[in-house]
Amino acid sequence: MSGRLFTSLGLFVFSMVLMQCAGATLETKQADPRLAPVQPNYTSQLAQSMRDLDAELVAIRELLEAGEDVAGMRFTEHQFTTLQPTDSSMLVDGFQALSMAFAHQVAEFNAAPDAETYSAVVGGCEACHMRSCPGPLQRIAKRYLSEDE
Amino acid sequence: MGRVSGCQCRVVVLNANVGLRLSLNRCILILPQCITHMKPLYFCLMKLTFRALVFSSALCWIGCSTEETPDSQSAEALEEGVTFYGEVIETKGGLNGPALRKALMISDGRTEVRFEGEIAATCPKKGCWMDVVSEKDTVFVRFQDYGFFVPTEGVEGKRTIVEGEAFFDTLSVADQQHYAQDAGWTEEEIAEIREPELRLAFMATGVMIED
Repeated sequence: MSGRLFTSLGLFVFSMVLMQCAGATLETKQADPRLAPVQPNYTSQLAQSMRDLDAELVAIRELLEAGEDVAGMRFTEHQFTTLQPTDSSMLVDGFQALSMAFAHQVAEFNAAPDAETYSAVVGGCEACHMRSCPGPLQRIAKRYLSEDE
Repeated sequence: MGRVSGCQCRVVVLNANVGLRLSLNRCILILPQCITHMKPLYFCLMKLTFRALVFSSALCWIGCSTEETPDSQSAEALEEGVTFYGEVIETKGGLNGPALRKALMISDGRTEVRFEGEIAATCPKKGCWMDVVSEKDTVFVRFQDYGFFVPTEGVEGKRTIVEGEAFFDTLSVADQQHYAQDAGWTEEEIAEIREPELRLAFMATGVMIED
């Protein structure tokens, strides 16, 4: 009986040691390189809505490229003119008109989701960013369907 | 990084051997005691095994702790004071300004490289570009697919290494005006931009900035 107790205790101590050793390995992994978040700065409402929209573009494009049905897919209908921009310089001349045109393109896709209405939405993104904040243009170009390129 | 294996088998075996050897000595010492008290032999052996196990475990514990500490410290020191943006990149072998120009000359104006310099400015609005200076050259660095950003402030004067594609780029008047607006130029200064400009440009997939 006592022998079993001793053996059990011994195994317990040994497993504690193994756990301690495993912990040491984990601590080592914490020394991995420090990687900053994608956006380490303040994100405005307008920028966040566009980032969300981009994620939707990626998901829908993937389905279209795979030849799958997108009938159930929808874009979130953002009211860009009511969202807070990063700063006022983003609100270029024509921003309101471009926002309205874009909202119309999104509504058309949501009413009849297909490759054509999808491409019109991407075109809407591009049209606005050619006027205001050209940074994302390269990224937007990659949202077009392969057949459009 | 990854060089510390924690509890190494060699250490365990060594410690176990030492533990068992010492326990056998102890066995010889307590064996007469066991016989005297007519205790069953298996109990004696169990007791000894337990002691050997505890002793070797304790040694292993110490072995693990002492083995791990120096290597883990050096791994931390290796990455200490450095932050990566986008992809984690190699931090050795960055070209300076003249070397970058030379690389571009021999590769028809476009090449995949690592470039090293000092941050002169970053986009104060979103962190979507930065000017990096190396000797007489200022390279305009943007980030692949607008996919990551650098701090909008507080990194000026810090050493950086960028990895990606370097090229000569012609910036249109509109683009120059946009970036000038980002950088906080006055209306008058922005209006002065009337010609497209040829710049040393860089599309980075990863950036390292020293803290």
